[in-house]
Amino acid sequence: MSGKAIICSYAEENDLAARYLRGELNATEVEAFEAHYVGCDRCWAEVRIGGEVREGLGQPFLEAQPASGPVRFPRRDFWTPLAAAAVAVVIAVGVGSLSRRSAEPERAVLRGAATDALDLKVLRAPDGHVVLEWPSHSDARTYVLEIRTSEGVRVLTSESTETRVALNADALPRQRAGASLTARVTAVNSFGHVVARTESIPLPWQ
Amino acid sequence: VNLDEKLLEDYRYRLRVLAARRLHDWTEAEDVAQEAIRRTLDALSKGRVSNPAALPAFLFQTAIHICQHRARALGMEKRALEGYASSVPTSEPVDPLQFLLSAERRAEVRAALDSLALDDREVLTLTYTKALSTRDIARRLNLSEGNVRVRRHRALTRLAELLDVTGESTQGLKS
Repeated sequence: MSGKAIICSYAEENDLAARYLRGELNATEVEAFEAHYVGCDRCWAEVRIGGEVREGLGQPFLEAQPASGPVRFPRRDFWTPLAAAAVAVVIAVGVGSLSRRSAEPERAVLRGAATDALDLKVLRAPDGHVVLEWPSHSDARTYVLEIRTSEGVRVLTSESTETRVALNADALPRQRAGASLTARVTAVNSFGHVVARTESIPLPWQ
Repeated sequence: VNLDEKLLEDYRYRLRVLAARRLHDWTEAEDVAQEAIRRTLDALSKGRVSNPAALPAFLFQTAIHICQHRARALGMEKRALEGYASSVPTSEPVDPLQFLLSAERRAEVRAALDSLALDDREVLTLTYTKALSTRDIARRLNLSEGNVRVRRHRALTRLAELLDVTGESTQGLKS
């Protein structure tokens, strides 16, 4: 994998498991996703159970290939267009667009060989908003904020060039008793590589 | 690198799926998966793979390599049989990727799906059988994308329990 791989959040964001099973990925995406799920329990679990669901509903476990054309093998240099796509689609959006129903830009995030640690601070603003702050990183072009349930399911993603985000806690899905949401920020450079990230911090007011 | 029986079985399933997508044949895919596992165990015993983190990539590349050889061989075999097949009556064409699961297992899956809450079952059905994105499903069910993901995750976890899919495959769902 030469030190670069798609990460779960990219797979989840782009519905890769479902689209893989439905035969909707192109050759580049297929090879990248297969290389990922062979080593990823989370994504493999979705492929496996999703495939069994399809068979239970009378469809093949997976669609082999788009209907036209023979089986083709992806080129070996498949990372070049993927990296180029990552540069093209990493678009910073403002803090104001942070809404769970907002249209999220398509992203391609590649994992770099090494990442730095960032310190994430969670504050309560006087107006009731929850403020997340982290230090800037010299190589970062944009920061990706992810909110997940305690089971690891992503319920919100937003990108910003700022190092501070104000969250309206009421806009987030309610959690059952004993469960909570966590926040994590990932710094991404111009090539779509992760250069730094914070720990996952629980949002205690949920 | 330690590979116990359960982990090997899990890797074999993963490789079988990716091989089947390439070869359009579950039986051929099973052969590819077994051969890839055999070669990997051989590499491990000879110390050619010592970093556990490199194991999935090694398995993947090995399986792809074997698939390429099999695809060539299958192509040659198909061409050799073309003249013969054209003179023999053929039965109804069957999708070679249907089915991986036994009839009994498919019945278990259907029963497990029926036991899910209606909303969760609908999210799974739309996700895996319709050409709909999470955003499309959210719009159709009047939910947020986050809520669709939560429901899907909850349903998959429940299905894994009902279908007794244990071990490495579902570790990710339980994290």
